[in-house]
Amino acid sequence: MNALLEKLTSGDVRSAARLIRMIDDNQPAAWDALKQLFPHTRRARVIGVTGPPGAGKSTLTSCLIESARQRSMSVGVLAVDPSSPMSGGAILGDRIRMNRHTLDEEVFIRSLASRGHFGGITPATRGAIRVLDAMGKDVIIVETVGVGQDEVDIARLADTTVIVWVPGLGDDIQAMKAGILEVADIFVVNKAEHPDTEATSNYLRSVFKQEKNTSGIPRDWMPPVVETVATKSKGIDDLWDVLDRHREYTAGASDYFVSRKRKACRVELENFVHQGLSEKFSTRFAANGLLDEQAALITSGEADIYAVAERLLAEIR
Amino acid sequence: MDQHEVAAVGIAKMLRDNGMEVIYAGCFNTPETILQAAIEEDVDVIGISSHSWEYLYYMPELMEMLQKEASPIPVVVGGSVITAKDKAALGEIGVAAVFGSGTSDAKIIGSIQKLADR
Repeated sequence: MNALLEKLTSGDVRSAARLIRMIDDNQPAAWDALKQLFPHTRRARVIGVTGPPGAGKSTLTSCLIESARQRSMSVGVLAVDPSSPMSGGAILGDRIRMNRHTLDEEVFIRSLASRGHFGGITPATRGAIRVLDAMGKDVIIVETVGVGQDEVDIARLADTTVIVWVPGLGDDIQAMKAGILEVADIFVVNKAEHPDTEATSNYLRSVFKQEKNTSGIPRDWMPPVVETVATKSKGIDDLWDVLDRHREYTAGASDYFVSRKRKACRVELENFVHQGLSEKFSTRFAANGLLDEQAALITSGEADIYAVAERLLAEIR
Repeated sequence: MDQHEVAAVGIAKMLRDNGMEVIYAGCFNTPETILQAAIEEDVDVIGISSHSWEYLYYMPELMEMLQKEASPIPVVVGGSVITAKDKAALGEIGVAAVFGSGTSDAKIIGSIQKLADR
């Protein structure tokens, strides 16, 4: 394992690819690897790119890779696509729009299937970000399909969340408002050649002004709206300027941002504990037939379901 | 590798519907871009679709590059214009399976699954 870590932290592509696979397949060895590489993380800047299907997220991501490279930054990309709920399989096609960066050694692109996880990202995404971080990538872009409330998850992972929108979808945002407004750091109106562009941008700005803050801590960053035409690389420098502004903001002592980070960390920690407890439960009770036994006693009236539950809970320590 | 995309997309859908995760790499790839994508994605099997003479030119190059890898990734090739003679030649340079026109879905899925399980 140490050999793998050594290779990984020196930027070895094959080690990184293998470890991401181990994480994605939930192999027990991945936990130890992540534990060891954790001290080598927290250096990269993580940008989340989300929005409805067809908004141009992959093309925009490709433009961001290009600009990051012009600024001499190395880039890691995680592109999440949905798994088929029927077969569990997936077609992951985001790479196609980023193909021109494939041979750039400073760019690492990895596709991830959502594998039944609702929330726009996979359970393995956080681990994969840490792998790319430890391998020394300066910028990590996580691209996800955002449909409805799923954007919330990406915001937990990213330092900066970019929501990609397109002109003409303006009013639909009403339906997504709650989810989006909580998480957006930057709004991109892509395909800005469309005649409705200005109306859409104005609409987004006005929606933010009306938004009430529910977190209790004053929101000290108002998401700017940037217009782009990703297929022509237009507006990307403007977007980058705003990304840099947000970076400065997050580096400063913003209570709002710090509380967001802490909340995200808490959720991840909670998930780990839940997962561990439920695994413990499965191996201790569910696997050996004890639950079936107890269920039989309860249904025949010989045992009390509340008393049994209390006893089982007390035994998990 | 070439611009004929319909069959590749069809195969990708079929594999997805049989529970596989397919990284679709698009058209106009070269052996270098295919190898790099396969390494970054840590794939089990590489599938090449070619409906022109180009496979004759590019496959030896790809196979040579793959054989330099510590653990070479198996490669399958599908295409409507692959002759029996070419099929044998592809086998000789290490291609794990060749699917000509008329190959059944079950055979394609089975071969790929077997290679992935190794």
